[in-house]
Amino acid sequence: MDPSHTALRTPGFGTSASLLSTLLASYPPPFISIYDPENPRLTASVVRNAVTNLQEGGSSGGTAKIHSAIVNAVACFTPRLFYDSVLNALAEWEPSWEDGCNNWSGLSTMPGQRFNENFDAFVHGLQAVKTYLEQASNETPKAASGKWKGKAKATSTNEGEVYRLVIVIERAERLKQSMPELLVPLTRLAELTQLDVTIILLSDLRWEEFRPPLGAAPDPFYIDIPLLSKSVPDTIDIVTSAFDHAAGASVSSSFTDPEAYSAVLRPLYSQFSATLFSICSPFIHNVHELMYLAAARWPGFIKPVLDAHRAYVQEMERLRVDRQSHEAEDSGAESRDDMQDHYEAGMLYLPSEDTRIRLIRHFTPSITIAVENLYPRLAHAAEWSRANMPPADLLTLAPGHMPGPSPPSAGPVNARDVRAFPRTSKFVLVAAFLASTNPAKTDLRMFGRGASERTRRVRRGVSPRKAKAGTGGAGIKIPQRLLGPLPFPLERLLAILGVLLEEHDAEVRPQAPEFAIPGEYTDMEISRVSVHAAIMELASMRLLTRASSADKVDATPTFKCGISYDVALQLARDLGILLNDLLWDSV
Amino acid sequence: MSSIDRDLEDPTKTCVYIPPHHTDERAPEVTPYPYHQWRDLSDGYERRMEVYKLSWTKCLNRVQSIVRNLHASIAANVAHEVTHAYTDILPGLPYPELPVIAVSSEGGSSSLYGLIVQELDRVPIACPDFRRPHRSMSKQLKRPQVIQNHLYPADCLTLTAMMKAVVTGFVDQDGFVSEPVKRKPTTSLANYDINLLQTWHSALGYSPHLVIFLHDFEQFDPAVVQDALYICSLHIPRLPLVFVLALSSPPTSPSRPSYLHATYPRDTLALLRVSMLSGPSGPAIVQEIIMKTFFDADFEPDIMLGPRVLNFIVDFSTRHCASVDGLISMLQLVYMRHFVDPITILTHPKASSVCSRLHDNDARQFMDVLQARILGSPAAEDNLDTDAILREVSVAHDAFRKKARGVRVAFNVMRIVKSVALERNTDAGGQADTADLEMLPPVLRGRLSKDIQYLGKATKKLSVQKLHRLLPELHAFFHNLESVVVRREEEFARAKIVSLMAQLPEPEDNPEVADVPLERPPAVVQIAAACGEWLTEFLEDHSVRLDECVLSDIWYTGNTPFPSELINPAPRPTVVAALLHPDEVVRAHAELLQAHKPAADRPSQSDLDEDDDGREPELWELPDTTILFRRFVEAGRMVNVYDWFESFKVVLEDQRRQLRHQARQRESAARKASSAPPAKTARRSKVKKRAEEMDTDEDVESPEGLDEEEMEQWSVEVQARFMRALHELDFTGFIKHTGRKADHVIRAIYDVPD
Repeated sequence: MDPSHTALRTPGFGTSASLLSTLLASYPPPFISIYDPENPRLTASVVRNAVTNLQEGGSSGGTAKIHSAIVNAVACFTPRLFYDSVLNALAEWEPSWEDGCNNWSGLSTMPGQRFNENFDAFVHGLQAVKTYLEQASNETPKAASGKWKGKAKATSTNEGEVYRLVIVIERAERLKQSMPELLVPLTRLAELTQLDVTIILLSDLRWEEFRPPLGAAPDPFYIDIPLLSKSVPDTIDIVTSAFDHAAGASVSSSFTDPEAYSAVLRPLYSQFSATLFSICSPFIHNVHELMYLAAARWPGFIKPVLDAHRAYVQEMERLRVDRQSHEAEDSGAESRDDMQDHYEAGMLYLPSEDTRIRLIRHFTPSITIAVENLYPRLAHAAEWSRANMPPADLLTLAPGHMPGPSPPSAGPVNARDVRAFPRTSKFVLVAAFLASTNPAKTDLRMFGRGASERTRRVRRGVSPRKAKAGTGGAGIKIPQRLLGPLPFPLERLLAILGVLLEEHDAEVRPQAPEFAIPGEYTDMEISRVSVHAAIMELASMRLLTRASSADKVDATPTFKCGISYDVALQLARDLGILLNDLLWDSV
Repeated sequence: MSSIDRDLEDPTKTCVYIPPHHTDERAPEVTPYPYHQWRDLSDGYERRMEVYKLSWTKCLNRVQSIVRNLHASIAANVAHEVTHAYTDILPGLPYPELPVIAVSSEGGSSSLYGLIVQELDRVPIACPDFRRPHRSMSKQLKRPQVIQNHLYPADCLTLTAMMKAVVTGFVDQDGFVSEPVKRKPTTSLANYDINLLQTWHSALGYSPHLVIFLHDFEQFDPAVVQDALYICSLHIPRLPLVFVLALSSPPTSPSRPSYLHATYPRDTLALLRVSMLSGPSGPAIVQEIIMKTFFDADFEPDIMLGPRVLNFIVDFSTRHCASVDGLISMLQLVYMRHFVDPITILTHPKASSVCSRLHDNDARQFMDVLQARILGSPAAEDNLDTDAILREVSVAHDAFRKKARGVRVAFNVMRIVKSVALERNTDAGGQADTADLEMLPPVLRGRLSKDIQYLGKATKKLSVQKLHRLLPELHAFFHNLESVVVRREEEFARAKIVSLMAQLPEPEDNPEVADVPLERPPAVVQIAAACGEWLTEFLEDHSVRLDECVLSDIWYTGNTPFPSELINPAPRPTVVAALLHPDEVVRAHAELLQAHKPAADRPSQSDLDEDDDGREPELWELPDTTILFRRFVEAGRMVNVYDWFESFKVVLEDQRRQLRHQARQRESAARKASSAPPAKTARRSKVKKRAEEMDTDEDVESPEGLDEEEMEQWSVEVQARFMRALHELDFTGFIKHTGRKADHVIRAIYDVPD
């Protein structure tokens, strides 16, 4: 699936991997649960490698002949997909288009057999796979297989050979949602099939959290992968291992210099990884994320070195030409030595310790920026790397003149913004924010006009934030702004919108002499189609979240506000609304 | 009616449909603009529609080509991203990322996506693969570099459905694999299994990019898409999938650069490589289109927009919605509205079909009106023949076009001068987006002399550097005019600029000193003054009011307001108003019908005013639904249906009494006069007809003197009328049923203006 950057000897996984291999090769428990909360993807590739290695090694004279199927519980979202994937993988069957994409259908003696109908058929399918594998190996007996003799006699017809089926399920926690009915039989697969089957569930959740109820499933053999973040050298080793894989790819990429991953620089990369780790380890434990950051930062980090090197080579080339012109005049042993030096200078070399420290000091601030932008994927690595290339010939500048880290740039500058919205949409968003933040019963006091206007905003600044002594903090009222938006019905939104429009928009809209009564124009405006269209459009953008189901036509739709306080404040400022005056719990 | 009576009598029927009174409510057959309209030709409507079609197509093509140009770069970007999705990747990444291109564009999205699809189709065909020569020879297979699959939210309600759409969208396309193989539904790979796609892809024999479009991406269920993306990411790069997401929402803040980031968890985002592209949108695109369609020196639209229409478009696009589709509908409405006027048949006065038609006899009336307008006074005596009139119209047309061209050139010159002389910062936030657009209405109204003077003064004070920018820009503008006519007309302006440029001394090297106006050398001062004077004169010459031209209403929408109710109606207040004051709606409708009747058939004004004394009709005079609605408005949050019925019944009793009274009066009057019956008008309301029916139905008795059977019949009638009115309100959505309280309904609207 992903190119395995991690061999069996992945640092930090040695113990677990060898435990798994030993188990699988000798007497595996029928049901193993592997738990890794930190790097499930890395663990998956380690397990995959371990199993494939055993499968290949086993056929060439190992302990037992292992056949494996590695499936993903998200990808196999129906039982049928699961059965098909497992059986095809175990039988090493590749469906081909010309044959109508048939699944593996058992032995040639029973064509058209269907094994994906239900669990029963699947059990039969597993048994058929076993028979098939035995027959296949009988037809092509291997001399080497005779080496190992002994314990397997009971289960194998072929003398001295055990056929062991291993089924690995990645992201096994999803089984509970997608196929809960399969969970129990899968854990008891060895019992049900009477075969040598091992099932390995791989998850970032503990088995206890998705095990079926009522103790229906037996307890697994637990393998807990030790936390990689606890072992710093291992993490750095893994991050550095990406260097070797990138070396081949860098030639064809336009994002990086072809020489950025030349083998000479590997020690510098490892130093760079260590710096990266020391900066990021408080926030990021996932090794893949660290590798991602390293991949994004390295092309920029190494560019000054390569620039300096190229400049040096050019300079030397120029000197050499100069020398050649003078060579006729004084040729001697010295000049030949110089030539030798120049020849060597053509090769990339590791920068001096001083330069390395300068580089690391210069780039350290930009790594924090990289974390801020890349970890939430506000930009992707390639784009970020290109946008944050250092200026050319950085190393030739004096240390004091080095430019600071470039301002954070999250990808291309976007001209479109929530502030570019039409005026009505801005009003709707502010009204929605008010409706979601203020309690409904305060509307009359906050927005009411007329006789009760004076009582408005009486409450400002008197919100009881402080707990009374002795209540243990129970009396503290957290402002709604911090608790998240409350749902509100459409009518309330329109009413608040009406108030806002009447107060802040009445002067600037086009004249309409036909509306004589005060407020009539606004009433007409808020019932126009375009206002409703704006609300629906904002709802489709999830700037207003629909709280009621969209299918119910006759019920009043309710919404929640989807913008933050800051955005609302900005919009209100654009419109000339004093947002804090209209908030019940003003900031 | 008898069948209804029978049904009403039948105790086994639980539900009876009472159709509305057809006899009452049948409207006269009306074509949109009846041919008897006095100053129109008999086939004027059809002919105008032809002209309209011609003019509108011209305008629409222009708009579409502008939009296409605006979108072309994005489409090219998408195509580039797609084709390089798997070849140009950053080395050192821990795992391959699924390329996702998020294209966000609010308005005119359909045209953008159409363009992207075209662009992807145009990606060069993959070179023929020699691994499978026998197949290529046997049958010509399609070998595109990019294969597309379009998914819509409705196809992807569940993960199975979505995966099925993903897989079959590719696999079931014809022409890629030579022999379509029949798959068995049970023993083959399931059609929602991505392995099937994998098998198909490897059978292709080459490796095209598989592009999946997710249209209306916001409407997809995030939980489903998340899993689908995960599954797809497991199969790259063996299966070169690329997703194109069609977003309609803009980024809301730097921390949420797109809808994708706002809605999907980090887990999913980490699998993707999201490139964000956003199309031009908002007021800027509206400005661009209006400018290039109606104020481009090289393009002459058949119809010129007037200031009121422009004002409306500016207001609507900044206030409500600035989208290409919306703008196109607005322009089309303006065109349609314009061609209502009969005189617009002469939009192209030289068109032969129109000329020959106007020579017909029945066009005489039309021509008379036209002649009166050309000669300036209705009572003109000279009798021009048709050809002469048409010649006059052509002359007027040419004059109008010349002036319109002048206005366009002047406006563009102003833009250039403004941008150079005043250093207007074009990217100073949202307001600048429509600055040019907002300048247009004053230009058309001819209220610009102040600005022109100001510009002239500013130009006189320009430094030599600025002049060196301004003059070449102006020269380039005049030089690059494509239209031959305009070039010829503006020959003098060009010559003037060339001569000014020739006289202008070279700028000095130190710009700091030269920027101070006091230190300008006298030669520069002189040139700047000459330039400023020429500019003022030129602009004043060219900015004229288009509506001062003869017959300008043929080609100019002038001060005609935009029919805004059509684009932005307010349905609920309209329905409520109609329910509260049905008489006014009926009257307005009647007046509309009258307006389209020929003068001869029209009733005299006194007829219309016959009983229009402006008084509010009494409650009993109103239709049943209105009576019920009036009572409903007075009720509280919940309405007790029985009380409602009782109050309704009271009004009906009153109505019955009044009708009888009137009928008796009329009878006695008829007996007295025994003359001709009163003239029937189209304004006869329902109520009166009902009165007549009742007259004939029932005997003239004293109101209280009903016998028992009649009383029963009456109560049944009241009940039936109540039910019908109630259901009408129900259908219109004014009441909600409560599931809890018996005999009560809830009001759905509260703030009803009275």
